[in-house]
Amino acid sequence: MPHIALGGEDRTDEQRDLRMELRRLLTRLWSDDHARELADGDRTTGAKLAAVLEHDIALGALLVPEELGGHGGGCVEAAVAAEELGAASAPSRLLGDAMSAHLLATSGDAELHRRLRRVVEDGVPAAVVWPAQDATWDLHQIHPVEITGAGASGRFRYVAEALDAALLLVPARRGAEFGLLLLDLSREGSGVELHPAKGADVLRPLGGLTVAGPTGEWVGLAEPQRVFTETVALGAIVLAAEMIGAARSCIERMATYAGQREQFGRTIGSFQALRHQIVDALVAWEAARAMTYRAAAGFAAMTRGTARIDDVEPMARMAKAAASDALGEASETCIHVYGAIGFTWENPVHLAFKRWAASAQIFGSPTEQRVRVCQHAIINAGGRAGGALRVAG
Amino acid sequence: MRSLTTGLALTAQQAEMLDELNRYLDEHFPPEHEGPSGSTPEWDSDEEYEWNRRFNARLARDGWLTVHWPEEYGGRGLTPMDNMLVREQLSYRRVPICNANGLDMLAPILLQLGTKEQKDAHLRKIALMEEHWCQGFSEPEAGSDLTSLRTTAIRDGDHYVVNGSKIWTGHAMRAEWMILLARTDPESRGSRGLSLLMVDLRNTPGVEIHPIRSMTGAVTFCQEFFTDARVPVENLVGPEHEGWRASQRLLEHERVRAANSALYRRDVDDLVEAVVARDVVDRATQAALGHMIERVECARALTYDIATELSETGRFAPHAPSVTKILNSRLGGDLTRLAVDLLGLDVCSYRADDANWDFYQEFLFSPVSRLGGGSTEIHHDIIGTRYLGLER
Ligand SMILES: Cc1cc2nc3c(=O)[nH]c(=O)nc-3n(C[C@H](O)[C@H](O)[C@H](O)COP(=O)(O)OP(=O)(O)OC[C@H]3O[C@@H](n4cnc5c(N)ncnc54)[C@H](O)[C@@H]3O)c2cc1C
Repeated sequence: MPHIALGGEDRTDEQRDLRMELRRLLTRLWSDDHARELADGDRTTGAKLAAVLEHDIALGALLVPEELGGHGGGCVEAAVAAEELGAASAPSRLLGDAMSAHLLATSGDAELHRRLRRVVEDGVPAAVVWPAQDATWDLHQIHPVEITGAGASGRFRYVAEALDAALLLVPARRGAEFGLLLLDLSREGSGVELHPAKGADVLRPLGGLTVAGPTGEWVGLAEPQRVFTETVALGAIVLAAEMIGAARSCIERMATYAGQREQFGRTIGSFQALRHQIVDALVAWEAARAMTYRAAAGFAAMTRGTARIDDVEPMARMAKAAASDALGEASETCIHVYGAIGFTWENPVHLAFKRWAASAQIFGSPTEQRVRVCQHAIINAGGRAGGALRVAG
Repeated sequence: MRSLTTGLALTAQQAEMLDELNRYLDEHFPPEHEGPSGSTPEWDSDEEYEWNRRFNARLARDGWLTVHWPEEYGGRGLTPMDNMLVREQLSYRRVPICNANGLDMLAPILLQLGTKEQKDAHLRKIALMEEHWCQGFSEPEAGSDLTSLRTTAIRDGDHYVVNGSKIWTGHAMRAEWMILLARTDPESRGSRGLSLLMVDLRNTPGVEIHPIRSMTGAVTFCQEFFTDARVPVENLVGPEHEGWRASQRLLEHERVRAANSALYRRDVDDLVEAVVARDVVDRATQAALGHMIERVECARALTYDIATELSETGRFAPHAPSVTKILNSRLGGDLTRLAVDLLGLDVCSYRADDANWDFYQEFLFSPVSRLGGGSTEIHHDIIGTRYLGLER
């Protein structure tokens, strides 16, 4: 298989080690057969992999600061892990883990820091309940759970990685105050209803959530809007990196196949009309990958206090949009290069094609991201975004 | 029920015919049987397939499936243009057409090249769904390069003895008959020495059929193995060893089918409805949908021209099928991607009222449109070399 990726060199030893360790582990534990079993509905298939990711790699602790018992990794490490998991079509809880760790750590709240420490110590699967269709990343533009004297009430149509979580971190509002509702699913009984939602991606089932009644634990946040926008931006970067990984696998697979399959007495890769499509997919992917790691590095700098969310947010949006397009193009081209074999269940490319249909949409479609990138530019140019452009959705 | 307008100067008879058809469908075709794609009902559940099979037979009995066939075979003796107008409405109403291979590929060849016995034996049964047909052309090693195929049919007295394997055969899991392209001259290579044979799949010893599951999750095609399968000589269609020319015509008929463009028009209309129901529609979305409508209507305009030409002269321009194929396959892919973008995560759950299909299914079928019936690349080569005279 050709080695692809211009910007493929990881910047630090830790990043390279993480990538190599994950690759080794995934080669050993997660083959196309496993992905197919999972797609066939065998929910036990991922258990071994999940256990190893949890115990050997401690993926759940990757983004948790060292002083809270974690590995102290940042967004770049999350992107490295996401790319490798994505390339292997492996299920994981990385998105939920990363978002929860960032939210709890960046809240600056001592009680939430204690919760995060417990999450790491006990290996509690956690998820941030942010509406997956939302493209605003703005706490004031979604419908958080409302908390009144009678209890909590709220509904989320699609939430990622909530179905098998034990702790849900739900954006909430009490009067004029914004914060978090913590739902410990091992203790909550009535009042919380989680159900599977119809979705395209078998590797990341979506769930719907309804909260009604006196349930959960309210924690006010000092800077709720910043905390949530950052958390969703991180989620978008993780999704982008995962799509970059999935696209990489499509490109590697189709390059390999085009070099083997013969028609008209030649390899099909020798036909320019086909070869150029593969190359175009690669070119788009290279740019999207570079943008994804650039956004990840920007996010990491922000966490260290040397960059501002206002600058990082558009980068996260561009990464998400570009990576979505890259995966859309790579997966569709890959199916085409394989010919009818690409259309079979047996060939795992369809998992990437279907993943695109979901991941490209979670936290906003490419179109929605681009509208907001443009609004950001308009504001920087001294204009008023809302007036200059009508916002879709 | 919305209807499909042609924008053509129809004759009074044509206009009346389409009104009558729409009234007929209002009465007999409930929306819960609407299909995502015009010619893939065999991918559906057994129950749904059975319903469609019966409904297709009824359509044929009531004179709606083969209006352009001669009256002696159950047609109305109308023109290819009339047939296209009818098929457009059927597509727009999402009426699943079960026997696409029989109706649109084999039948035109039989009408032109078949013997009287062959026509008498098969045409009516094709229309009435008593014989569901599949098309056995592709092989594991011969896809785009079809004429490199290796399945042999060697003459032995009154029979051809068939050995080899066919693959990706749509409809084969339901079909009783196959139109087979095989090498009858074992000394030949390339496009010479191939013949078309009609094979009774269910009553010929030595034929094995293995289903293949596709990325949609359903069985959409099969692989067949032939081991000394004996096919009577009278099942040869057209001249021996000259099957390639005949089969080229078969494939061209596959390509100029109007059905696709009209179905795409229905897809856009449904998408507009879905988008309007959900939200205010911003300018960018309006432009994207407007562009889709324009592309669909351009494709329809072209199909009208081709059908008119065919009705008046019995021919069409040599590159017409390839142009149509490329336009329609691009449309199919772009349309479903737009649907995914506009419906977002709802794409898997959104359904029009009462419908039996969703845009997600269409999205899953969409990669096929660039490949089936000769890939986009192959059609570029055909137009470039045969029409523009460019060097290979
Ligand atoms: C859903 C479905 C239904 C089908 N139904 C039938 C059926 O009923 N009967 C039947 O006989 N067949 C059927 N087919 C098979 C179809 O006709 C073949 O898939 C098609 O001819 C391509 O062959 P292949 O799959 O072997 O791909 P290949 O020929 O191996 O092609 C692989 C890739 O190489 C490209 N390529 C090949 N040659 C060139 C070239 N010269 N220049 C540039 N690019 C090139 C192709 O475009 C494709 O992207 C069906 C296929 C599908 C997916």
